[in-house]
Amino acid sequence: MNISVVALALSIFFMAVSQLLFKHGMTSGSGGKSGIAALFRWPVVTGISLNVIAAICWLLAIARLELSYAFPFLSLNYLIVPLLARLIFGESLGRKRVLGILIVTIGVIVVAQS
Amino acid sequence: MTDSVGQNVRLGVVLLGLNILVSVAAHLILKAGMDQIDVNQPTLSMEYALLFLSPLIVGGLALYGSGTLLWLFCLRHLDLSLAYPLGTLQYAFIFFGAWFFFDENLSLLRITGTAIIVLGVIVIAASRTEST
Repeated sequence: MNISVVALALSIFFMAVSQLLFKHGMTSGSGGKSGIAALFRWPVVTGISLNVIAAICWLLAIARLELSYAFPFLSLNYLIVPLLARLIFGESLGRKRVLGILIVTIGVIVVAQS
Repeated sequence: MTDSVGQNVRLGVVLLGLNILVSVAAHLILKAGMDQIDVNQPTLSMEYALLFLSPLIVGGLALYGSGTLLWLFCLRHLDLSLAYPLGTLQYAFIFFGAWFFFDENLSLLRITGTAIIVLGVIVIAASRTEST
């Protein structure tokens, strides 16, 4: 399989996981009044590290892929993040939101054909 | 639009505009940075590792970080349901830059797909107001 596509997929996945870690880290436990203490505990620190790895993967992806091709794929996280948020945190998805997510996904599939 | 204490919509829009310009510039600079290397080079090579220290990559990443900060401050003043869809203006600028600077092929299919994505983001943004 094409290594640029693998790098792109990993970049998107790591970005999604870091969002979930940020959400978990900023809302659980005692963050102190301002939440600044939460920035230094494992979920947020891990999330930031994953973001750095995601950035490296992204750079490796765009080394060979066209920017106008790779960039729209980042919006797959409009699908992945809410899906994982539902599975892991039990967040609810309204009908309208599901519709929007489906439309975004169709758009990404169309770009993938280009 | 909510008008809670401390919200300044005009400042929010300015910050969002700056965020879009800075983020687009960051992406184009990073692409230019990665184009410095011969594409036939194996991905896990010393050349790639050194590339990450080049001024274009370091500068592009710094710009990217500044864009994220601008975004966070913009969110203090704008509703997410407005900032989110407006943020997709980035796609238009990225496409223009990719065509102008890198001669990328902007097929009708690619433009159509991206327009569909923007439409989806607008629907998602509209769903935020109904559920909160």
